[in-house]
Amino acid sequence: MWIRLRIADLETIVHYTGIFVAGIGAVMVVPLATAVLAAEWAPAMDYLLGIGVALVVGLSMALVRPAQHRITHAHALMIAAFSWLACSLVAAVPLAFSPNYASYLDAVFDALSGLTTSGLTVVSDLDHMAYSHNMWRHLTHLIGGQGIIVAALSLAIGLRGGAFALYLAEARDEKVLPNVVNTARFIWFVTAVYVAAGTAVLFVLNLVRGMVLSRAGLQAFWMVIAAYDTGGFAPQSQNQLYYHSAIFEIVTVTLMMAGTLNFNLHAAVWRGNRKEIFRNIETRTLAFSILAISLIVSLGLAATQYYDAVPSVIRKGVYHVFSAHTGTGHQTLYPSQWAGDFGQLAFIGILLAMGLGGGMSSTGGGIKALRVGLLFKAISNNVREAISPRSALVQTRYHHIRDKVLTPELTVSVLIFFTLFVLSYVTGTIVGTGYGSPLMDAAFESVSASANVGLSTGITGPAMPTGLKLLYIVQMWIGRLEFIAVLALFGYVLTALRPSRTS
Amino acid sequence: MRATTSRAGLTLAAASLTAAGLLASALTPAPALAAWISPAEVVADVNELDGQTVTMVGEAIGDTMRADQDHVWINVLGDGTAVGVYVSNEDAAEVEGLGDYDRVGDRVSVRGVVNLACEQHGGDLDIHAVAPLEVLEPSAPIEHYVPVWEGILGAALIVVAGFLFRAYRARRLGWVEARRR
Amino acid sequence: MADARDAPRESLSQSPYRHWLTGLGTEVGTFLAFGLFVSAVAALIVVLLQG
Repeated sequence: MWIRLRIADLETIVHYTGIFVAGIGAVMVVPLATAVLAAEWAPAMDYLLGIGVALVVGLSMALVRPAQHRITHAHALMIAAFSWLACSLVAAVPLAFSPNYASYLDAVFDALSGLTTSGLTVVSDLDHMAYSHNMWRHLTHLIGGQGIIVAALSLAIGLRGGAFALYLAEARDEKVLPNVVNTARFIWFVTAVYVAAGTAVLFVLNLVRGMVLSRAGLQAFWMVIAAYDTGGFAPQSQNQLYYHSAIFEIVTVTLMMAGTLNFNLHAAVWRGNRKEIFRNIETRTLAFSILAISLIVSLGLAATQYYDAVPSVIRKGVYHVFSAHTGTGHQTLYPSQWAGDFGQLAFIGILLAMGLGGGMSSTGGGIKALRVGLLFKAISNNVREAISPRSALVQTRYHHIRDKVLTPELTVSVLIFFTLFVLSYVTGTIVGTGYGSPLMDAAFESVSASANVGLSTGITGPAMPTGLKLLYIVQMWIGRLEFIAVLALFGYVLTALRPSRTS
Repeated sequence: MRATTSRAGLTLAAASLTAAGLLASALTPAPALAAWISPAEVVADVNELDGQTVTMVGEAIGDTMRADQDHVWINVLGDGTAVGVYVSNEDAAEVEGLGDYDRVGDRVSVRGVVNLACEQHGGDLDIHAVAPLEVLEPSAPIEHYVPVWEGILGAALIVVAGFLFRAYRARRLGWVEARRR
Repeated sequence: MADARDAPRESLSQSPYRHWLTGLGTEVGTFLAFGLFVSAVAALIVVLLQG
């Protein structure tokens, strides 16, 4: 049974969505400042307009009176689903005015890809993009990765009650600290530490390699937030390949792993519980899966004509397994190389890594390691039940921060998410194939979009059909919010359209 | 169209292997035939070009990055695709202007060996230059049209937003009061 | 709840900022070691296959 949406509910949703939209406008001050400092006057105009539009739209929405009662779980789902879309539409405004985007839709594609930390891009002539536009593109990773809603929470802007519901609606599974605002602040603290440390290391590396000061700093910062937020954008068209550096790759892969780690784990380890990282079901699943898939990819590459040498296996094979599994999507291959010289076995390995995805309560996407781990626990539980006497009570325990029992409800939830993700992967593949892409390419791109990874076989680009752009936009949006919020939105819209029965 | 030009480029690239003298003619400002290929063609036809010496012409972009053994990396862009060129310090000396938002980089001619998966560089697709990079056209600044109307409209909207914010703050106080009662 | 008993409740109230530097060191060290380990295994497989 669906609960009908009343006008009062709608007002609440519009009000809170407006706050987030206005927030996007406020953050646009950073690219504006970049434009002014770099004397990029054309983009400076774009950001003045962007800020104006975002603030006026956002504040107008915020003027709508919210409901007097607390935000319910249903409200939170709607707000999350709406906010991500509304924020993308607004974040795209300045990009749409840059010569690098052919249309507003293209700008929306990149804004949403950035906010969902996917990294697929339809930009053109990226190598001549303004610093300010690149700043904004990469900042969307930071805003979206740390969570539009978490961002708002950390500033504790008037979300009395229901803050936790919002936090959950944004596909974050649990509180790290007893208080939601503290949780949000901790998430930002971890981010600040990693971003500062990573930027410092890459900045020095870039300087040593002879880059000019400003470019060394900006590119270090951008690549670090793209890697840490498991995003995948890069300031140059060759993506990570532009840098031609093994050290650069080691640093970014380390950041990718940090970014895909559950914030609860960060909290446990930073409290001094160092063993947690080795005992946790999620890190164990991730470690096992990355190792197993790396073996598959290595076996695949060893049989290829071009990538059979050990350095190639590591820098083209293992590197991309990490990039795919963490949901980042930085790549050091040209898109056209995936389907050919990389070999089919290695290709499937990368596909699998993307689909499984990173950690819960992180910026990673995909099915996520905790669910994969629990799925295997559930299977083993079933087998044990089958071979035990009927009277025996079979119980499976797992360790995630503390020891927990695998309940039937949890198993069902895991299976539902698993099925939804696979459905999305398959649907996208079918549609992509319908548009004339080869099956494997379509599958790769579909999984990459749904799991918010960003690796590309070259289907994604400014010239792709509008239908495909819309498909990947929906996949990235729905995958980031883990279906429920978006499906609930559809459900409400459908019930609202259905004529009410007079009983 | 691209296929035909690249095939022409390919045959010529192959011919240039045997005839070293072709190099000189390839680099003259107005060659009778397209004696060079673009970075996009290098990537598109890399399976045929792997291991061959080609002349690639494109725009030097971004940064010069120090590599191993007194070499640097310069990325060269053409037709929307950039390819990394591994070149010794002295062979790269002539390249000065690198393309970014403010300028079109030097249009350079690179003579080098194409590697589909370079063994020396971890499987990267790259070109190892075998001759000094030659600047065909020097770097030039890019003029950008500044849409002042956008800024004026934006500023006006920001002023409107200021009033909206005041109204919002006043209303919120009212809501909080109402809740208390 | 069943697991409330064995849960170290006091750990939740402990500040996660207290050991942040050692925590960061542990994490980065683990990541680097893991990356190295996976690379070594991959290299070993390739060498064994070709040897």
